[in-house]
Amino acid sequence: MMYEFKFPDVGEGVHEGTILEIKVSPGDKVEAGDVLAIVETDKVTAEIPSSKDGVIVKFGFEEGDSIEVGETLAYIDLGGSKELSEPPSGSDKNASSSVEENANVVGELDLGDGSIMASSQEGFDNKPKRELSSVNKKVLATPLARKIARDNNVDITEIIGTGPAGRVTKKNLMEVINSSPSTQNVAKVNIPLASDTVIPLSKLRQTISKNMTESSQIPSAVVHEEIFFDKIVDLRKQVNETIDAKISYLPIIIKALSFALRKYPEFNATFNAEKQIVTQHIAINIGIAMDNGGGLFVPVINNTDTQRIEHISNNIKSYIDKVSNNKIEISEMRGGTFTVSNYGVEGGLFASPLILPPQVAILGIGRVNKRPVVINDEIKAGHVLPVSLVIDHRVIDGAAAGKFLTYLRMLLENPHILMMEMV
Amino acid sequence: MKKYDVIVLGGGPGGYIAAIEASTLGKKVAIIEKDKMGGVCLNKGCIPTKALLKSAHSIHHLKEMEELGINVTLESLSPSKAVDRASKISSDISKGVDYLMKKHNIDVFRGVGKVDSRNSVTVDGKGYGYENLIISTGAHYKTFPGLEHDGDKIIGAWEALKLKDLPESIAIIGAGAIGVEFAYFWNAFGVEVHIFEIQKHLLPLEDTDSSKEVERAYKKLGIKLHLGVENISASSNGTGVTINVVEKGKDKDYNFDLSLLAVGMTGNINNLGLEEVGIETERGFISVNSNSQTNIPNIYAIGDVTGKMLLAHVASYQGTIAAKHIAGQSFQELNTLNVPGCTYCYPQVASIGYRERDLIEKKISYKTSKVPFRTNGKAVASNETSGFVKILLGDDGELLGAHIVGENATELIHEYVLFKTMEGIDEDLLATIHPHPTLGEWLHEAFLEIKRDSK
Repeated sequence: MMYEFKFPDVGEGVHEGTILEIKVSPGDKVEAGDVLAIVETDKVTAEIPSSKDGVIVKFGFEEGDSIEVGETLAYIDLGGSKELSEPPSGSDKNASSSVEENANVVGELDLGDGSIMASSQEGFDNKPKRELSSVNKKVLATPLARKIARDNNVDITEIIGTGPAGRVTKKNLMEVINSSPSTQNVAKVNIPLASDTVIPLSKLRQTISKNMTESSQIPSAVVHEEIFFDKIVDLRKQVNETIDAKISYLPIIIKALSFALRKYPEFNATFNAEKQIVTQHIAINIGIAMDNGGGLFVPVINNTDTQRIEHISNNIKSYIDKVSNNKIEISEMRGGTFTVSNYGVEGGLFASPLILPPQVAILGIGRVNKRPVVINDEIKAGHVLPVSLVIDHRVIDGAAAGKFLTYLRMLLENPHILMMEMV
Repeated sequence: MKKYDVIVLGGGPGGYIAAIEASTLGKKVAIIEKDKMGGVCLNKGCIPTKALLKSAHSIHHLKEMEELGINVTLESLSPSKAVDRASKISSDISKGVDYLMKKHNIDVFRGVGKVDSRNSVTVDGKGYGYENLIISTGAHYKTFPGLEHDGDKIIGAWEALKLKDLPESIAIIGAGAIGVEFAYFWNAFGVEVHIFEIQKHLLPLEDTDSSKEVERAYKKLGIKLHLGVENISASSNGTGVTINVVEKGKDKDYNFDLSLLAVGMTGNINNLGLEEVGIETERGFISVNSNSQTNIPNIYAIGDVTGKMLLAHVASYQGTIAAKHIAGQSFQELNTLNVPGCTYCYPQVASIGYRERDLIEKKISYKTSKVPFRTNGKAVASNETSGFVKILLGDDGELLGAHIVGENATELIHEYVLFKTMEGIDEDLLATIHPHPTLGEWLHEAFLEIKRDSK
């Protein structure tokens, strides 16, 4: 009996993805849980596991194709008769539960039951899947507009239509294409110079681009500070002599930061601009911005104020690993109340990173460097940690930012006080 | 002074449709008309001419009867009966419009309306207030030096409609739709007809292929064409009219019993109080924006008086735009490229969008095909083989222009109008099954031919 395995909803409002890799071939025997393909969405790169045991008959898509939630990714022969028939309702339930079991692999799976598990009569139709997707999507658009959107790599779902019944028309499309330099470049890549490299943005990058634009709308202000770091440098050296898994400075900084957030809860908050409400959170969950070359991810460590520094350190290391292997999950990036951007590891002293809405602040951490410092009116060589605190100026004022930084500096310059704060 | 949300000045296809729309949208509406409801279209234009053309075309059908196995002889022709019939149809339909006004609770004021101020009008001196005014006063026949009506031997189309005693020869000046339609009618009723036109082709606003097809048909009918002439002038000479032209470089005189001037229209903008109120006009028409507003925001103008495509269906559409705009509703703007044009001579001409020469001039890349009806089974079986379907497709497969010439052209164009308005592409039309055997199949065939050619 033929089973149509459809691209499941991986949550977070993800509608579609790009197939990066197909892991099995027609004729392969698979078991429920075996990874069928790796799909990149605009939030995350996910492994898609099979929900059934069976033999792969064929794939509905190729590597590099775009696939939408609900479209048939693979046809699996479950055994028995080779006729295409509706899977009996019993097996639907089994399918749902086995997919749920694998929820941890792809993060939270919202099962829109009917749309994913409903059987289809389509079978082996050779209709190009692109046309099908334009029928399934509820975007009202004229055929001409759709064609132009396809030809120019424009997402038609994002265009406001002014045609009859709100249809997207050619006119609407041309306004977008003619005003948007990036789509123009992508579409009209005529004769790039031999040495130019033309890179259309990946879905992930496009989302990052969108999010950054949103972030930049926040009226923000930045306050820079330098923290004398000699004592922490020594502290870390001592700590690392006693443990196996060495820690970096970051977990220590995060610990101090957590106490600062506890003392100044207005920084550990989220702002709903529409409703004009600031919510100060009890939990202190710090996100750490990480880059893996393909995109920016911000995995979150929960309750950093009550976690052991070593635990924070292990979390950071595990996240770094996951991000660099593109295995980070959406659930691991949720629930942050504050974010740090540790660009100093790569280089740079002071910066003004962009706040992640709806958070109200972000701390940039620069490069620990040794330079002349003044101690007791004498110039000595000392370590300095540059930090930059960016605040949402709608809800936090400069004076508050100054106080926050002063407190953070005090904790890090006086580790004994930091210790006294420990729970 | 009685006040209205909307007052409409002029009860033609622009005005009365605007009034109905405004009333439907909840406005208190009044309409002013000095003559009969329905305007030129109903009383002196579209409708009566189509009635006359039905008579004319039937005469030609009669001539083909023998081929179809029917032996019949034409006894006599009665042009006055045809004219009376056309008149009766006009007045019946006009009464229908009167009824529509009542049904929609629209007050009708019979008399000469004038714009008094930016919130009032007068009708034969009596004042009425308005929040919004829609001017739909239409247009009248243009004259030029040397080409002026005298009401006797040199007449306009409105008088031509009433012509019951047909003379032996008539000169028609102007080969637009009006001139060409009257030529067909009079020729069918046995009049010697000559058409004079300064442009190189009949129906100069149509695609050149369409013009040529009608010219061929008219030559066969015995209508004499003087195209591309210069310096036309008409003067009464006692018994008839003398037409003086420069034809092929030579100065020539032609004598006819009667002459019809059909050389263009100009907006009815005089004696309406427009200048006093400050409404801007340009070259004889009232200027409007895409909301059909004049330079004064609460005063709108629609139809022939705006000079935008002198067509009844455009007037009606502008009327609905004005009414919707007044009521704060959204609407689709008028896109002149999606407006069809029809000429009812035989063979009929129907077109929409660009002409081929427009695309060449604008350097727009296109593909074209022209499929003649003589290869269409139904056309041959029905003995209606004149004409063709010609289309112009853009690079994305969209319809840039379509031109149909033939017996039923004006009833075939609708599919293309819908297609173009909905921004269909060639794949859509190719996937549409057209019934066989019909003339309409050729609407599909034209697309198929382009697809075949591109392989």
